[in-house]
Order: sequence, then C-alpha cells, then structure tokens
Amino acid sequence: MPGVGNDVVDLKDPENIGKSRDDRFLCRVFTAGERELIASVPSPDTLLWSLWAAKEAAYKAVSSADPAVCSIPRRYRVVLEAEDATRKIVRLAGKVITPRGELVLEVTVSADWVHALAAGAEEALKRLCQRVKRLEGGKGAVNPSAFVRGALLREIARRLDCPVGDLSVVKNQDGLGAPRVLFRGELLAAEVSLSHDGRFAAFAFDPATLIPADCTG
Amino acid sequence: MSVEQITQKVIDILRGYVKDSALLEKATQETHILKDLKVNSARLVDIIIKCEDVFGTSIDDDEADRIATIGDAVLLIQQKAA
Repeated sequence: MPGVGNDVVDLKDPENIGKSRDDRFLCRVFTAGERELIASVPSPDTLLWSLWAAKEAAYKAVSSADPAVCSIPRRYRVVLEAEDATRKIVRLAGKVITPRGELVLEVTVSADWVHALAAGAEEALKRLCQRVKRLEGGKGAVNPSAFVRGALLREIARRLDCPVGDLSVVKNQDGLGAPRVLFRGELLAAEVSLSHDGRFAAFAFDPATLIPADCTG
Repeated sequence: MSVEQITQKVIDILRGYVKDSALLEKATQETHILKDLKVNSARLVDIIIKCEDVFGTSIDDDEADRIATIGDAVLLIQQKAA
C-alpha cells in the first residue's frame, strides 16, 4: 500500500533554471515521450520540474512502503491528464506509473514553484493536508529541514489541539523510508512527506491518520 | 587508479554540489550522499553525469540506482576500471 509523497521545486533557483537545455540530464531522467512533451511547450523548464516533482513524489510514496524499490526516474512514467488553469496557479492532474503500480497525481504550478502530490487512490489524494511555504528569511537563512518539520508539527498540533512540544518527527535508524510523527512519545499512524528546494519547503499528510499507530489494526 | 585516488576525485566532484563544505571534510566511504551531504536528488543525477565525464566511463540506470554512499560510487568506478 503506497503512502503519501510530495515534492517541491523552486523554479527560480539558479541550479534549476535552464535545465531543459541539459540533454544528458533529460535523457537520464525522462522517457522519450516526456522529453517530446518538454520540448513542445513554451515553458520547458516549468514542465521539466513538474514532471521531476511528480516522479519524486511518486518515489517517496512507494518507497515509504518498500524502501528497496528502485529510484530510477525513467521508471516512473508521468501521464498528465487535465489542466485547470486559474489566474496565477495551474493545477495538473494525472498519474505516475511506478515499478509498484499506478499512483494518482496532482501537480500545482505557480510562477515561483511547482509542487507535486502522489497517493495510492483519488480519495486519499483529496484528503491530504498539504502546504507550500516560503522559507523565513529566504534561502540560506534557516535550516530548511528544521523549518519544514516545524511547519508540519504546528499544523498537526493545531489539528490535535495540543502543544507543538507534544509532537516530534522521527525517522528510521537508517534514515530511509518516510518520516513519522510521535505524539507524547507514541507513534501516530500518519505517514508524512517532507520536501524543500531553494526558497521553499512543503509537507503533506493524511489528517485521517492522526491516530495512534497501534489503533490501525 | 587506487581506491584513494578514486575517492579523492569523487570528493572533488561532490565539492561542486555540496553547499556546506564542512560536511565533506568529515566524509568517509560510508557517508550517504543525499542524507549526510544534503545533496538533492536532481543534483545526484548531475553528479553521476560528472562521474561519467571525469572517469571516462558510462554508468547505466541500474548502476546509478545502487549509488547511495561515497563508497558505493568509488566501488562502482573501481569495478568498471578493472
């Protein structure tokens, strides 16, 4: 059963700008169909990072249940199905075909960032609580990992109506797999996904799973 | 090329992608490139491409997928050079 995956990319980060001209990167990461799509749009960098974020989100979702699953980006094929354009933000729906089956996908594209969410089923995706936040003080001013963990814990504390100090983020001893959350020392069932890039950080979790892990049977 | 020479070249390559150079000063063969050196996944793709150029070899997808630590990269390059 796949978990939750999210990934954010800062479109204005100098290391990300112009990547659509890097043929070797494109060939290593994208399928031939994805490369054709990137080459055909007016903003190839934006589409490139949207597809990349989709692959990363899908990998995080499947690797939370199976940390040994391959991470080869080309083996996570992204299919974008629909576009819902608003004034400043575009939402793309679709799916990612992974080595462990299909995941549903939503990619949000703004002028500054792209953010992808992946989950095992449509209803799970719609239930997700997700946020994209600008790092306070900008890139380099804060530890982005600590910043995104703090933002996640504040959101969970608000939902559980408890002090943030009652919560902490833990990882497996080997540092692999999805992070988990402890509430007053007890593991919650919720799987969370954390991401940061450049000036932005993002998190996602399923609010329906903010219950003790030992209550999930 | 010796393991030490390959390791040094790999660390030199990583220098271009690791923002906190102090993390590289204490790097060992067991150092995890993504988790310990805080390199993101997209930059890991760039590092693999750079390794291909520096060592004059090609690294296929499955080989790249096995690179998690500095030691994994060194061992792969050593095996391909043998």
